[in-house]
Formats: sequence, C-alpha cells, structure tokens
Amino acid sequence: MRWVLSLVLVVACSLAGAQAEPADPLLRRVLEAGRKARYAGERTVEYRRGLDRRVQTELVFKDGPRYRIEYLPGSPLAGQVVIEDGQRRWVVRPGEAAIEEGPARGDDSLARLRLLLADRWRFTTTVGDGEPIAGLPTRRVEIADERGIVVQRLWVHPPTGIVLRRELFGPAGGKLGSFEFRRIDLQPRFGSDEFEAPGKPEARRGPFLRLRELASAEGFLPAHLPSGTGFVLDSVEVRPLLGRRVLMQVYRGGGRVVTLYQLPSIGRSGPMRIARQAGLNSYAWQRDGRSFLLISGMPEERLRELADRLVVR
Amino acid sequence: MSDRENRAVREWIRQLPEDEPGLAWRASLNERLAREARGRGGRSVHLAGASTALAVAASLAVWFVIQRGGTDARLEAELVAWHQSAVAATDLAGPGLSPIEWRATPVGGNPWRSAEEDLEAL
Repeated sequence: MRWVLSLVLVVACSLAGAQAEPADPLLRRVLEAGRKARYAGERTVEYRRGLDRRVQTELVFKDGPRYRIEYLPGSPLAGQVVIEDGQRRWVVRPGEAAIEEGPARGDDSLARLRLLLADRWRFTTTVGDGEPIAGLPTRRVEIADERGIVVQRLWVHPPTGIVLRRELFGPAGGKLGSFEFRRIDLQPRFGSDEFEAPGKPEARRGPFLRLRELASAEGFLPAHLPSGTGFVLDSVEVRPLLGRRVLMQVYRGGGRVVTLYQLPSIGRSGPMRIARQAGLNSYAWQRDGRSFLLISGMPEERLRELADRLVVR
Repeated sequence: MSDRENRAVREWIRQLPEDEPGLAWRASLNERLAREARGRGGRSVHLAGASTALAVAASLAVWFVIQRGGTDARLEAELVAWHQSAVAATDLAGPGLSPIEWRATPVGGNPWRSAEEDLEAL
C-alpha cells in the first residue's frame, strides 16, 4: 500500500513538474538562457502606444544572470547605464548625484513567459522556421490565446536559446512593442568590474527612499505594499493625469506585475470596468481621503488581500 | 298667473328701491380685480423662471454626470494603459530602462563626449 502511495506521489510530482516546464526543448532552452547565456549585442527596443512610437538603441552585455546596458550617443538617454548583478539593479544617470537602486529584473520577463507557456488551457504555442536575425538562424515561436489572437512572437537562436527578436501584442492583437538584436557576439570578453555595483553605497537610493521623498514633496501618503506579500517595489514615480497628480508604484514578483496608484479621491470603490475589458483585474478603495487602485492580471480576491495589507509609514 | 296678478308683480318690482353700486364700491372692486390680474401674471412669471432654472440645473447635472463619466472613463483607461506599459516594458526592456524610467540625459551630461575627446587627445 505504501509503495502504491509513493508511486502515485512520484507520478503526481512529475506531472506537476512537467506542467511547469514546457515540453518543447527549444522553449526549455529559452528559459535556461535567461540565467546562463553570455553575449554582447546591440539591440533596438520599440514601444508603441496609439500613434506614439518610441525607439531606443542599447548595448547589452550579459554574463549569465548579470547585465550591463549602455545607451549610445545620439539617443536621448545617451550616457545612462544600467547594471544588474543577479540580485540588485542600479541605474546611473550622468549629472545626477544619486544612483537608483532596486531589485534585479533579469529573470522577471522569463518568469512571465514561463507562466504563459504553462497556461496550456488558455494559450497554444507553435514553433516554425524563422528568418535569420543579426546573422544567426532562428526558429519562430508564436503564442496565441484560445481565440487564435497572437499575444507574443519570439525568434530564438536554437543552439543557445537566446531570444533575438520579440514582439508583444495587447489583448486585442494590437502591437505593444518589440525588440530586435542588430549585432551580437556570442563569445564576449568582459572586464572584471563591468557588473559590479557602481559608486559608493551611500550614493545609492532605493525605491522606498524615493517613495518617501516623493510622498513628502507632493503631498501623498507614504503608503506601500510591505515585504512578505511576495512583491517587491520596483519603481515609483509621480505622473500628471487630467489635472491630477498620480503616484504610481510598480511591484514585481513571481512573473507578476502589480501597479498601485494613489490619487486625489475619485470616490470609486471595487473593480473597474475598463480594466476588465482589457483582460485585467482591478480593485479601488478609499483611505484617509485618498483613492487607491491596484491593477494586475491576478484575481480580484488577491488584489483585495493586497489592499488590506497596505501600510502607511 | 292671471293678468291682474302679473300687473301686481310688475307694480311691486317697480316700487322696489334703486340699489345701484356706489362709486367707492366700484373703485374697490376695480382695484381688487387689477390686483388679482397682477398677482396671476406675477405667479406665472415666477413659475416660468423656476422652470427655466430647473431645466438649466437638470441640464447642468446631466452634463456634469456625462462629463464626470467621461473623465472617469479616461482616467481609468489611462491608468490601465500605464499598467500595460509597465508589463510590456518588463518583457521587452528586461533589465534595461523601461519607458516609465526614460529621462533624457541633461545637455552636457553625456560622458561619452568627454570620453571621446579624451581618447582623441591620446
């Protein structure tokens, strides 16, 4: 009897494991490449929103989980540098005294891809021939929802699993953005200090410090999601919107992104209609004369739980 | 009634005293009538004013609700779009700068220029 139970347990665990990892070896290689690949390349990144189209060219140096990204002359971001050591991420901007510090993002996009590939009820994945990119052969991976609407396309270099081109689409099939490598060196040489934390520790400023500064300067509550929720604060900023000032906090964790907004009271509570139309969930509530709103792809109940755990300090 | 009786009634009526309304009474009646007429006219002016004000208030309320609804919808749409941009930025930029983080390098803040000048000097 014990033997049968053990066998059932082993089979169940294997099935669970098989669900988490994609069956296609190419896709497994893509997920592995996020942690293991080494290269130096130049790529263009394009973001689209309505008629607005923004393009940046960046140099990417990747050594396993470590990254260094530099912006070239001619770009509005010229001279800015991003460094990740696998745990932390730093942004150095010329002319600014502080160095922005935050959690590493390297694995996050792949964690999201893993979630997408694991959701076999909602998404189907097809692999076919792709055109050469940056002089390298590719296989094209297409992920579509149950209606056949393409949500993502990847052009993968089969031997390494490196994604050389990626296109993202919105819930209705509208293109959100893309990136593409123009040049890539698969045998790069890196200096010993290229991925080290920049500057002095006292010059580094984390997102919580920035949150407190912005809240104090702009009259917001220093409200945030505490550690232990499974989400880490990635970025914080204040944006103008229809005559209001909106404090936007982006949290990441386990491949999920949650955005927390704080704005002058709009007198709304509960879920929002437009978020649902976009295939997202939302939860709005009032506190201390301010409106708060959480938006994410997670279930509404989870957002309510997060709302209950909001702390002000 | 017989002819005699009719004549008697006519005679009785003729003998009744003349009771013409006095001038003072007529004047007071005229005044009262004029006042009534003025009052009625004033009330209708007031009613018309109140109706117009109500109509304007109702229109303003409808406009405000539509406007508010439109503003709320735009507000929601923008906040949803910002979230979508943050997600897309994660997938596309990876560790690189996402559009949310894009801040143009200040003029004269580009170290590439001075580095290139230094290299040329060598």
